[in-house]
Amino acid sequence: MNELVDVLDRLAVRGTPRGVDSVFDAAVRASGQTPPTGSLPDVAAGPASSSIEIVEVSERSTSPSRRRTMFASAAALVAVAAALATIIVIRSPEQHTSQPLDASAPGTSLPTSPDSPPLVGVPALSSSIIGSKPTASAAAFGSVVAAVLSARDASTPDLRETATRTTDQGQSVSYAYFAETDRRLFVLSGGPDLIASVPGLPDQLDPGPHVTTGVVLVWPEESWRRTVALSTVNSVTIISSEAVNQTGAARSVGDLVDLAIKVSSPDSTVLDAFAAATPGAANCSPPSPIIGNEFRGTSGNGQLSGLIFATKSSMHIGDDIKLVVRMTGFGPLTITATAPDGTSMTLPPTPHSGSSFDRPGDEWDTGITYQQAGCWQIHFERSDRSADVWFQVAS
Amino acid sequence: MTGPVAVPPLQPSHDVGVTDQEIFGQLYPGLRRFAAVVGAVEVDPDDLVQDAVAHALVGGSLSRFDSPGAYLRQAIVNAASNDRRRAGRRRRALTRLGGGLTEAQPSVYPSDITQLARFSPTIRALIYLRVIDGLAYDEIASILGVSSSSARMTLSRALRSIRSSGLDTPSPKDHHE
Repeated sequence: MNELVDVLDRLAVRGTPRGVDSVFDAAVRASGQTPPTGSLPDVAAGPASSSIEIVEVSERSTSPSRRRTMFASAAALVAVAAALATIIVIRSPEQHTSQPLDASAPGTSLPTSPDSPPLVGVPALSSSIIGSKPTASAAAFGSVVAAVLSARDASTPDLRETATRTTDQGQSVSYAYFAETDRRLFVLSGGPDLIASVPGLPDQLDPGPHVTTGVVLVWPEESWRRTVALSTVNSVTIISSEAVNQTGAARSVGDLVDLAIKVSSPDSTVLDAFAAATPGAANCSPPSPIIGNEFRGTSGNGQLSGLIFATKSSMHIGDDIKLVVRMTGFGPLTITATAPDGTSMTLPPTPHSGSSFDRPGDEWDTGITYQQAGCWQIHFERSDRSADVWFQVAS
Repeated sequence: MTGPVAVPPLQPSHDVGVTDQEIFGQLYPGLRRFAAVVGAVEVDPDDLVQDAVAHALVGGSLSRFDSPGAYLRQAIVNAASNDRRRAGRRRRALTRLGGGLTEAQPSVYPSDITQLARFSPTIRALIYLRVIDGLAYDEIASILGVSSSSARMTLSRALRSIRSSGLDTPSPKDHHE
C-alpha cells in the first residue's frame, strides 16, 4: 500500500466538480472573449429610477443546497468621512444618492421568481431595513465604497445602490450593491453583533466543513455564489459575490476575504479615503480633509499628516486643540497660524522621538486656541518643505 | 486506493476544427485533479482551473498551443502560487485585525494531507506529475519551467521529507522515464 499515492488520490478528488460547461463558460466570460449570456433578465441594467432601492436577494432554485445559501449583501462600515459622500456622487450621480429611503417604495430591484422559495435570513434583514428609518450617516459609507471600487479586480465594479439604515433591532447597517458584467457584489456592514442580532442570519451558519471560525466566517459554498463575513472588534462585514445567471462563477472565497479585509481595515480605509479626498485650499475652499481625527495638509513638495486631539467632533471658537503632525523633509519645523482676520501667531512645536502614528516624516506636537470663528490657516515649514492646512472653526 | 489513476493524456490528439470547449472537455478531469492537489485545501480546484483557462483564452484559442494541457497545468501552478502568497498576506492582516486571532483552518482533511500542504504548489505539482501521472522528468521539467535535473533533485528531497514524517512513498525510480 503506497500511502502517498493514496493521499494524493484522496486530495485529487476533493470538492464537488462544477463540470466542464460551467467552468469553461465562466472562464470564457472572465477572459472577455464573449459577452455573457443567461436566461435571467439583465439585472446589470440596474433600477430605472435614480432613487435608492433596497436589494432583496431571492433564491431562484429549489435545490436544498441553494435553499440554504447565503444572502448577499455588501458592506461595511464605519465611522469615517462625510467628505466621501462626494465620491458616491462623482462616481455615478444618477444612480446614487444619500437621500433617505422611502419606506413605502417597492423593495426589490432584482428579478425574483415567484415559484422560488425565499432566502432564509435575507428577507428578515431586508424587511428590517425597509421598515426602519434611515440614519443620517449614509455618507460615511463612502469610504467603503471607495475601497471596493479601488479593489484589485481587473474590471471596475459599477456601484448601483448604497445606503445606511437602522434595523428594527437597532443595528446601524450600511450596504452597497455593485454590478459587473456577469457578476454582482453585495457588501453589508454593521456592528460587531450584527449577525447575532438579525433573526434568520445565524441559521445560515452551517456547522459543516465549509465553515471556518475565528474572525472569518464562510457560508456554505455554491459554485455561483459565495459569501464570507469578517468580524473585527468594531464591525462585521459581510461580502457576497454571485454570478448573474448562476452558471458562471462567483469570486473565490479568498478574493472575498481580501476584499473584506480591505474594507474593514481602518488604516487602509482612511488612507484610501484621503487618497480620494480633495486637498484643502486657501480660504477653506475646501477645508483640509479630516477623517476621524486625522487630517492631511496641502503641499507642493512634501507630505503633512496630522491628528487632532479635541473633546468635540468639530472645532469651535474657544477650543483648545492639540495637534500632532508628521511632515517629510529635513530641518526644524516652524508653525504659523493665521486667524480669519489675518493676524498671525507662531505655534511652538515639540518634537517627538517616536509614536504609533505611522505616517511619513518626523513628528511634532503643538497646540492652538481658536479665538475667532472662520477659516484658520496653519502653515508648516521645514528647511526644504512647506505645507498648509485650513480648518473651519464654528462660532 | 492502490495505484495511479488513469488520467487523460497531457497532450490530447484533437482534430482540426475541434472547439475550445471540446479540447477543455478532454482535459478537464485531469486538470481538476491536478488543481486539487496543487492548490491549497481552502481553494476550490475549479477556481484554479477556471483562472488558468481564462488566462489562456485571453490570448486566443486553446488550439494554438502545441500542448494545451501542459500550458494549463503551468497556469494552474502559477495561480496556486499566487494564492499562496496572497494567503500569507491575508493571514498577517487577519492577525492584525483580530488582535491576534487568526483564521481557523477547516479540519476537513486528515493530517497526512496537511503534510503535503506544507510544500509549495510547484513541489506538489512535481510530486503529482511524477507519482500519479508517471511523467518523465523531461516532461515535468517542461511543464514546470525547471531543468530536468532540478526536478529530479527536488522530488527526491520532497519524497525523503515525506518519508521522514512516516508516510510510505514510492521510489522516484518506480516510474518510467
